[in-house]
Amino acid sequence: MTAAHPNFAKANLMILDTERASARLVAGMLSGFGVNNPFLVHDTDEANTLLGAGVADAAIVTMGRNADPVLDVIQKVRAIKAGIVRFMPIIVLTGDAQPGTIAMARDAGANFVVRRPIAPAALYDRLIWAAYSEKKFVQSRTYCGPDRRFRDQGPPPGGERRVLTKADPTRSQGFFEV
Amino acid sequence: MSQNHEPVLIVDPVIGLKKKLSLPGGISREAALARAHDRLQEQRREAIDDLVTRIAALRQMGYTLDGMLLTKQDMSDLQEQLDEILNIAGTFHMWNLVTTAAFLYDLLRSRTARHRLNADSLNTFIHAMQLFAIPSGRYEEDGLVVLEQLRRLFEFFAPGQVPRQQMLGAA
Repeated sequence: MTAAHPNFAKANLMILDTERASARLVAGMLSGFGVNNPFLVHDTDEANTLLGAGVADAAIVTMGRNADPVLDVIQKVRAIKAGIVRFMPIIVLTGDAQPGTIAMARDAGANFVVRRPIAPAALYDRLIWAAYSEKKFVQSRTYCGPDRRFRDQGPPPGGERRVLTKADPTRSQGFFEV
Repeated sequence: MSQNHEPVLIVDPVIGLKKKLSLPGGISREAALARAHDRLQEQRREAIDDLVTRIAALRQMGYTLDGMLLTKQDMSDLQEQLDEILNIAGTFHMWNLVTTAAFLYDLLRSRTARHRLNADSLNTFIHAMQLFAIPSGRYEEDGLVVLEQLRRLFEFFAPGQVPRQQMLGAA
């Protein structure tokens, strides 16, 4: 799926985190991967300007307890019509990985939502996955972002397929039973 | 009954990052992760200083409250600070500090506990965090004893609730 070894040297990555200390930790990891001088931004206005200018290839954004400003940044990127900016990988980091939080970020168009603290391996693998995966991009009136449907790859190996038996009147149609 | 179907466009995205990463001259995943680990270790001293400063600010806040019940704004401010402490301490595998901060964070999220927490109980957790932020490890050996007492305090304020599991760290 990937080239011989990914080369991060020319990649422009933006880190959005209102907390400078946490932003520096992510920047340190990216530096280890080979990223030269990632953009560190600490407010959403600055992020919107940078992303709107199309200079970033991917964004790593931290979503705090007030998620709205960060969700707004993601939605604005996904709504950019010109060029390929709207397709950029966006990884959301959050300390509050409640199902509702994750759903909000994904609905805004994030590729991944990851709980903080993030390990270098987790960050690396998600960046690679977001860059090389062949996921389609969905554009509609209510959602712009990566296709969130999983590809049907058939049943898992081993075991028997579930078979359809006669319909159970107490359940909805399509009830499957082993 | 007619339905309005929303037009949906499905496209093959052009990922700029992929083009950049595909340029020759990259390094292996193992080498990249080893270098990232080294970069984090270079930041450890500075990060711990930041932790100590944040905990000192929390302690100052605890003193200011002077035994009163916490307001909604107090709790919100505390949670923001604790979120950062959890992130930095977790990154550097400071598990006793992570556990203590997570206890307090979860108490602040608990509806039951929120109405019972006061500055005195808050300060108990903050004092423990100060001990665990000391990088010498001097208090690490007593850590389990302290954590057990904090767990009991957690159960007192949030009976029946299970504190979250320790988080995975990075460095």
